[in-house]
Parts: sequence; C-alpha cells; structure tokens
Amino acid sequence: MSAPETVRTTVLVADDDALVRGVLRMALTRLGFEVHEAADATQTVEVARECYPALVVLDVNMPGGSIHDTLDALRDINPEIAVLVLSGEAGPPSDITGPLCAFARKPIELDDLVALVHRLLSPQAQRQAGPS
Amino acid sequence: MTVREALGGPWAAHWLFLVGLLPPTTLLVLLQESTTPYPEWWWPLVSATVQHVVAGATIVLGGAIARRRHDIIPLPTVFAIWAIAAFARGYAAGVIAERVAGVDPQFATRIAIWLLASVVWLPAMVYAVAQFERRRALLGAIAVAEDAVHSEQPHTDETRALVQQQLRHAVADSLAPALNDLQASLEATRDSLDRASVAELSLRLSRLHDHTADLLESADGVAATTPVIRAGLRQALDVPPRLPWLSAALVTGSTVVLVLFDVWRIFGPLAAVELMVATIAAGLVLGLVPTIVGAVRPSLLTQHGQRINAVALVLSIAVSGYLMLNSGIDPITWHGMLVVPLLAVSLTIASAMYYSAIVMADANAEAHARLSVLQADLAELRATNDHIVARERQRLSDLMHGPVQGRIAACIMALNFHSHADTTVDQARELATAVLDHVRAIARDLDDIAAADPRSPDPVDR
Repeated sequence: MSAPETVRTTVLVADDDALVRGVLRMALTRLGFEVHEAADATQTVEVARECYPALVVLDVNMPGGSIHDTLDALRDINPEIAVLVLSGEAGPPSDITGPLCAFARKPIELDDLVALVHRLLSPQAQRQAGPS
Repeated sequence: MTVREALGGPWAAHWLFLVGLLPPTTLLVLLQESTTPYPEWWWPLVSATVQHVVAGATIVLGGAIARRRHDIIPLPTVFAIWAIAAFARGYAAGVIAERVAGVDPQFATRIAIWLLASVVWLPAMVYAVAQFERRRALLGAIAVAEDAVHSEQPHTDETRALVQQQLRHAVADSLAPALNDLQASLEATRDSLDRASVAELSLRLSRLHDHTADLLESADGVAATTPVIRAGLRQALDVPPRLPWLSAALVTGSTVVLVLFDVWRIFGPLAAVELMVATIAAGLVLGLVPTIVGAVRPSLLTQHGQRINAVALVLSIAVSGYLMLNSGIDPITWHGMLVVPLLAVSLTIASAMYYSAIVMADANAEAHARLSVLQADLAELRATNDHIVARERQRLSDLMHGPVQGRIAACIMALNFHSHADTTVDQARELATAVLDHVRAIARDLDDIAAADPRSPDPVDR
C-alpha cells in the first residue's frame, strides 16, 4: 500500500448496493484514496460535481439514469475523469472504451480491483487520454 | 431416393437379401438339373447350395470392398459385382455337373442364363427392397414428426406466462436449498468469523453465483430428441395398387426370362410355348383384376388394395398352373411338374417386387413431400417457441440480475475483500451481519419472484 500524497486522490464509488459500496470504500481507503459514495445516478453526478474525483467506480445498473447519461454527465464535469465500470453482465456496455475507461465483472477480486485502479490513474493512462 | 441410391445402397450386397433368394434359386437349379444324371437325388440340392454360397460370397465380398471407397456403390460397380457373381455361379454349376455327373459342363449356357436372370431380377429386387425399407423409414419419420407437431403446440400468451412461471419455479427451487444452507452457516459463524470460514463461505457463494448464471442460461429444461422408428410391415404395404398393367407386364417379362430358356433347353420348344401362354395368361389376370375392381368399385381398390392384389396373384397362379397342366400344347412329364411351382414362386416374387418398385416409389415420393412439409412446420414452430422461451429466460435474467445475482456478487466481494484485510472481531461480525442480511434478502426476493403472477408487473424489478 503506497503512502498517500499530501493531497489524496479522490475516488467516487457509485453503487446502489450498500454492501458493495462498503467493501469498495474499505479497500480503496486502505490504498490511500479519499473515498466518496453515491447510491444512484443522480447522486453520482451531484457528488462528482462537489468532490471532483479522479476516478469513479461505477455500477452499470443504478436507479436514476442510464450508464451512458451518467458517463456523459461525469465527462462534462471532468473530461479526464477515469471510470471503472462494474457489472454483473459478462461484457461491458457499448461506448465503454478509451484509456481512461475499464470494465470488470462483479464479483471482482481485490487484486484485480487494485490493478485496474492503478492502471486507470497511472500517468501513462492520463497521457494517452491527452489534454482536454 | 434415386436409382443409384437404391441400387448402390445397403441392399445391393446384403446377406439377408441373399439368404432370401436361396429358396427360389434352389427351385430354379432343381429345374435346371432335373435332366442331369447325378448319382444321388440330393446332388441338385448340393449344387444349388454351393452355387448360392459362391454367388453370395462374391456379392458380399465385392460389396464390402466397394463400400470401402463409396457409401453408395456406383452403378457400374454394382452391376459388375452381380455379373461376376452370376459368372461364378454358372461356373460352379458347370464344374459340379461335370465332376459329379460326368456331363458336358455347358459353362457358356449356364453362365449366360444366370447373367440374364441377374440382370433382369437383381436390380428390380434390390430397388424394390430399398423402396420398401424407405417406405417403412418414411412412415416412421412421418409418425414421429406428426407427434412432435402435435405435442409442440404454439406458445400463446397463456403458455408464455406458464413458461415464465416454470422458469421462475425451476430457478427458485434450485437455488433455495443452497441459500438456506448458506444462511444457516452464516448464522452459526457470525460471531466467530475467521479467515477459513470466510474463504469457505466465499467459495460457496461463488458456486451459487455461477450456478445462478448457468440456470438462467439453460432454464428451458428438456432438450428435444427425435426418436427413429420404422413402420410395421402391414402399414408399409398399405398402399393402393397403381399402374396394374405396367406391373403385370413386368411380372410376365421377368418370369419368362427366368424360366423360358431352361424350359426350352430341357423340355423343348412346345413346352416353352406352353410356358409363354401360361405366363401371359397369368399376367393378364394380374392386370385385369385390379383394373376391373377399380372400374366397378374404386373405393374397394383404395381401401383393400393389398387384398385385391393377393386375390389377383392367387388367380394368376391358378390360371398359369391350369394351363401348364391342361393346355394340351405339350404333354406334361413328371419332372416337368417342377415348372409349375417355379412359375408360382416367380409370379409371387415378381408381383411383390414390381408392386414395391412401382407403387411404393410413387407413394414414397408423396410421403417424402409430406415429411418435408411436416419437418418445416415443426422447425418453424420450434424456432418460434424457442424464441419465446429465450425471451422469457432473458426476462427472468433481467429480473434476477440485481436482487439475486447482484447481491450474491456483493457478498462474494465483501467476503473476499475481508479475507485480505486485518479486521477486528467487531468488523468481522458487522460484515457477517451485512452478508447475512443480503442472503436473507436474496431468499425473500427469490420467493417473491417464484410466487408472483408472471403476467403482473415484476415484484422486485429494479
């Protein structure tokens, strides 16, 4: 577990299941991130606007809006926002592409979660995404 | 079925077919050897048996060799095999006559007679047997297809709801025991949740997760299998006679070819003329009886075609036998009496053979067309019903995605993440309680899903 920087990276966990939010919060906090939570699509956009996260861990099926609308709103807030989409489905929804996007099927292993989070927040991924 | 498929198929060199030919060929050999001065009465029987074994072995061996390269033997190959067998048969007959009776073997005559008989009779017989067997298979397939069409009723709105309900019950029934078991384990260990029990619970939940996905993938149940049945002999033969005059002409021709040359050779030209007259008269009876019945009572011919054919055959045998014995063209001798049963056997086999070849070929074409229509109907019906089942399965999958699969996934993640972290006893208890709440919620929602009316809005749709 790396030591946090002076300013901790902010991660938003958006899932309508409190248990999932709880375990993700626990894992990401241990990694040194500042973790915020949202339980539906509307709340996700509101919290993102307030805390300006570098990464959103986003459940595909949340009440309050579609994944595509939520992604559009998040990118309006921060065009370089990294998104880790989690879903019970075998494959990602369409348009989940690019260096700042990743997909994982639930249940995800902790090691896989850590690897994906690090990859999405790596400088290389940020460079590939390019300036806004 | 094409001519090549019929003649080059399994019956071209089938041992059963060859065994069936033993009695009539033996009768013919007895006639042929009736003037050969064998030392004992049973030598013609030995000759007939040896000839048949030689010819049969040639055909079976030739067929086996040809079938190594072709599933359906090419026609020239089939005819070559039959010709070689006829040659071998004639040669064997000549050798036995020469060695045992000390007479001229007359190889050319014997081989020519068997070649002629083989060329005329074998193709027609093999074709007839193939058509008969095809008829049995086709009628069996039609019965199966009709049954399948009958049982595979189109899914209506009612049956669609039933399908959904069956799917829900199947899934709920399959998952409920595992959930109850998990619940009991969690309740028992919630105050002492260590790494080992977490790992074990996580594994069981993972299995449940995979099992749920598998159930939703394959919840339509029983796969349809198509049984293969063959119709009974009586059903296969139950076809009204067609083209009676063509059949009668072919029966007459085949019988003349089979017997005439030997009768001429053995008994002289007058006997041959007598045989011709008797055979033609038999052919006339064979053609006349169904024609007259068809003209007077067409329904009788349609309903009892086989019986009328049988009556015609009995009458034709009686007429030919009467003429052979009483026509006065050639006085009958004691060994000339052999011609009468041979004529009767030849007329019987030829009638059955051409009936099968002509009538059943036509009937098979119609049956095949009917089978194609039935199979197309069945395929369409099954495709529609499969589509409905797939859609209902997807509906159930959507319905179960969050309440069941999502919650199971959440539990697995919670247990997995917990097993990687150093947690206090209180944290472990808190986690166990949260997972237990989830498992209870899954069980509750699963009960609701199974109990709900599939036509009403989904109870736990999210």
